[in-house]
This record gives sequence, structure tokens and C-alpha cells, in this order.
Amino acid sequence: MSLNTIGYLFKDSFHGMKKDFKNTLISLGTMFATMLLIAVAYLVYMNENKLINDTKDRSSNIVAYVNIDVTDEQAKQIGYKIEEIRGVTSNTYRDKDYAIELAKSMNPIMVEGFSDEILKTIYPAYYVITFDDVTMIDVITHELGKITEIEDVSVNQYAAAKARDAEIYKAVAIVAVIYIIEFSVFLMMNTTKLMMYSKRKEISIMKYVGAKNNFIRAPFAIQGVLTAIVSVGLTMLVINVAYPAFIRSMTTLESGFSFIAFGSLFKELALLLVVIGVLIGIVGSSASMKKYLDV
Amino acid sequence: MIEFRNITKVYSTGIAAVNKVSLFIEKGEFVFIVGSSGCGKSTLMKMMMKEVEPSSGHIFINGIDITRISKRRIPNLRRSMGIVFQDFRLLFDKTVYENVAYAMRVIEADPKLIKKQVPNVLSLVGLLDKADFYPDQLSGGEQQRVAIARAIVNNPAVLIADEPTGNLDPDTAWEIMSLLSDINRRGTTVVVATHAKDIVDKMQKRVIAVKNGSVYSDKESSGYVEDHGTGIVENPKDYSHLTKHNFPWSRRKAGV
Repeated sequence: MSLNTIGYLFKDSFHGMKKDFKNTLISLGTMFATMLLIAVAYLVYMNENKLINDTKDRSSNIVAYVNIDVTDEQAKQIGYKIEEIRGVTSNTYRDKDYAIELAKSMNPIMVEGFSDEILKTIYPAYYVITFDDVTMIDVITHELGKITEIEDVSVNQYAAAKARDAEIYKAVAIVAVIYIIEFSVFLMMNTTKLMMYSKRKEISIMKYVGAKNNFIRAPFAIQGVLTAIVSVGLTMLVINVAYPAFIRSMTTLESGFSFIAFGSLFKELALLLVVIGVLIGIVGSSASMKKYLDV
Repeated sequence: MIEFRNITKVYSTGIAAVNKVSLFIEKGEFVFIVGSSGCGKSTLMKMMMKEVEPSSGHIFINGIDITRISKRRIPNLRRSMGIVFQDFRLLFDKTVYENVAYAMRVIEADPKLIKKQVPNVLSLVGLLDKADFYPDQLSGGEQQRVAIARAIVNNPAVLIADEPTGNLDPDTAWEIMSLLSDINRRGTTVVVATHAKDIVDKMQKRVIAVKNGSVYSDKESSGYVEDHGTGIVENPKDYSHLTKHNFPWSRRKAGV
């Protein structure tokens, strides 16, 4: 295809959009709605991920207290059993002396007047167990309970509950994102189909004149791409205003969660929308006009 | 130039639109295909432009068996012919100039050639002064002239017109037929499917009459006679026995 032809096709696309302004507006509106929904879905998903990671940081350890009668040597052996539990990434042994010193530093009044020998019958040795996947908390706790030398297991219950909630939110967010994208693409494809239906006569005329399929497709595909780019621009403008306003309103509610700043997501989101938009524009128009090309 | 060899077309509904038709159209000829509605003449035209595939037989245009060419090559076939329809089929968002130029654009013609050729053709059809008009600003006859200009702008070897005067009043129809005759005189083979028997009679060209999907007669139209019972044109000069090899005009052109 010569440069002159490409130039003509671009000119023809602009002319077509201008001439068929009503359909251009419909297409632009649908694409804008599609892009906006995808952008919202993306922001929800990213913040959800951040929430999970934040929760993970706060609840990423379990404390397993060793039975008070277990000797130091026996207690160290428990570490091997803990290591084998699925989901555990590390375990650190703290002996009774460490526990007593910690108690003295944190709450000196409680231990005042007691000798170390007595304190050793009160403060047990313990393991600090870390893990990456918060959903494994219940599994690890259950497995620790099976070790006879371990008397008690302490988990940050609030953080664990938050982690479980976050997992549910994430699952809901993923399902919502999939539905939003599916709905958006469906919306866009149908709008394109309607547009192509209105152009079917024009397409058949082009075929009778001897136009090849790519020559016919090109202006529609270019229109699709231009519509996508304009829609992405509009979406980014709206998000740029609405998202910070949303964050401000949520902060006043003291949710305790800090949302991702829009600036750090701008480039990534714009790129994602351009790619999706251009794909919908090209694939949507090409797929929708396929049956009208068979003349 | 154009040869139908034992062509049959049976549609999926079971209707046999064309039944074992064989005919030969010489280069530079002007041929009318006539017959009542549903006789199969439009199917013959559609098969020439490869809009409809025959069920059996072969069609040769410029020596190429078009029944065997792939879908991908259909645009190339259509570029070698001009097509005119009853309903004009113009692009309504393009001006007269753009509609005609479009046929050159699709073959990626040199822009300089487009600028030169389009006004020439518009001048030929008498629409140079309306180059910037849109189709909906033109009369039916003018729209058909634009369609004809678009059909001939690439200098096709053959011009196929399916009921080109069907939507026009008698005077305008005659103007369009005269224009087609002019184009034929410049060397383009013209095949016209029509109902307009009065014009067919006046034009005194070869007439292929189709009835029930078969060629009923193939004669030169001089002294037009209409059989009102069948809607078939009868005339004294009979060419139905001629083939590619004994066609008198081809012999004359070959100097035989």
C-alpha cells in the first residue's frame, strides 16, 4: 500500500467520521463508557491488591509457644517440624531467657520481685513463624496444633480476619473486573455491528468497484483506533479528577487504608486503555464487517 | 471476450434460474439480454461479476475461466469490468468527483492520473459542472450517469449494466442508453440486461432473449417484434447458431 493510499485512507476516515457525526458520537460514547468501566475495574483491582499486601505485612507472623516443661534442646528440635509445614517461610527460636528479657523490657512491673528461676516457669520459649500467603494462616495454625511440644499458638486475629476479608474482596473484584470487561467488549462489539450494518450497502458498493477487503476495512479500522484514542484521553481526564476526589472522600471516613496515588498508575493505565481500545477498535470493526465483505 | 459454456444455476431453494446456457459475446459488441422478470437474466449478469456462482459450466472473460478463480481474486476481476446497477449504488457521503475517483483509488492509481482522468470522464457523461455535488443533490438520470462514469473511469474492457434504466423515465432512459452506446463506440464491450423493449428496438443491437433460464433467441434487433405472450423479442437476424469460431464480427475484426 503506497503512502499516498495510506494518506487517502486516513483522510477518508476523518471525512467519514465528520460526515457520519451521529454514529461517530454513539461510537465515541460507547467506547468512552467501555474505557471508563475498564479504568474503574483496574483501579479497584490495583487498590485491592495493595490492601492485601498491606494486610499481609501486618499479619505475617505466628507465635508458637513451647510447652514450659520442654527442655531447651528438645525445643530446638521442634524447629525442624515447623520447617516442614506447608506455607511456612521461616521460623526463629526464642528461648526462655529471651522471653524473660523481653518481658522485663516491655513490662518491668509485672516481673518485679520474681527470680529468673521462677520466671522460667512462667515465660515459655517460643517460635516466631513467618509466611507469605495469608490464606495459609489457618492451615499453619492447625498443623502447629498437632505438634505436642507446642502448648499455644498466637495469631494476630484482627489481621488474619482482614487478610481473609481481603481475599474475598479480591475474588469479588476479579469477578467484577471480568464481567465489566466482558460487558464493555460486548457493548462495543454490538455498537460496531450496528454501525457496520448501516454501512453494509456502502461496503457492497466498494466490493463491486473492485476494492480489496483490506482497502475497505482500513478506514473503519482507523476510525476505530481514532475513537479509542479520543475515548482514552477523555477517560484519563475524568479519572484524573474523579479518583483523587474519591480518595479524599474515603480518607475523611477514616478507613485506615491509603489508596494508590493516581500519578503512579497514570502511565500504566493509559497504556492499558490504549492497547485494549485499539484492539477493540480494530478487531471489533473487522469482525463485525466480515459478513458484509462476502459479496 | 465473454463466453458462457453450458452454464446452469440452481439456487439452494431448488429453483433452476439458468439452464444449460451457452453464448459468446465478441470484443466490442453491444448486447442486450432481455426477458421477463425471473427469466434468469439477472442471474446471468451476477454470474459475470461473480456475485453468484454457477452450479455447473464455465464462464470465460478475456480467456480466464472466472468460475475457477478464488474469492481473493474477485476484486481483480471486477476491476477489469465496469458495473452499473438499476439503483445506481453510489456512495452518498462522497461527492460526484469522489465517487468516480473512488474506483481509481481502489486500484491505487497515481493521484495525478486521477486528477486528469476523473474530469475527463465526468465531461463525457456531462456532469463536470456537478463534480462537487453529492448524489442526493442529483436527479435519477444524473445519478446513473455518475455510476456510468465510475464504471468506465478505469477504461474497463467490458461494461455490465443490470437494468440501468429501470428507475428512470423514458427520456432519461434513452439518454442513458445513448451514453452506453457512445461508450461502446469507443471500444468497450457493453452487456445490458433490460426490460425496455422500445429502446432495444431503436438501438438495433444484438439481443439475447432469455426464457425460463434458457436462451430463447439470439438475434440482431432490427424490426422489433414483441411476443406479448412470452415477453420475448423476435427479430429476423438470427445469431443463435454462432459460436466463438464462426462469429461474423470476430471474423471481420480478424480480417477473415
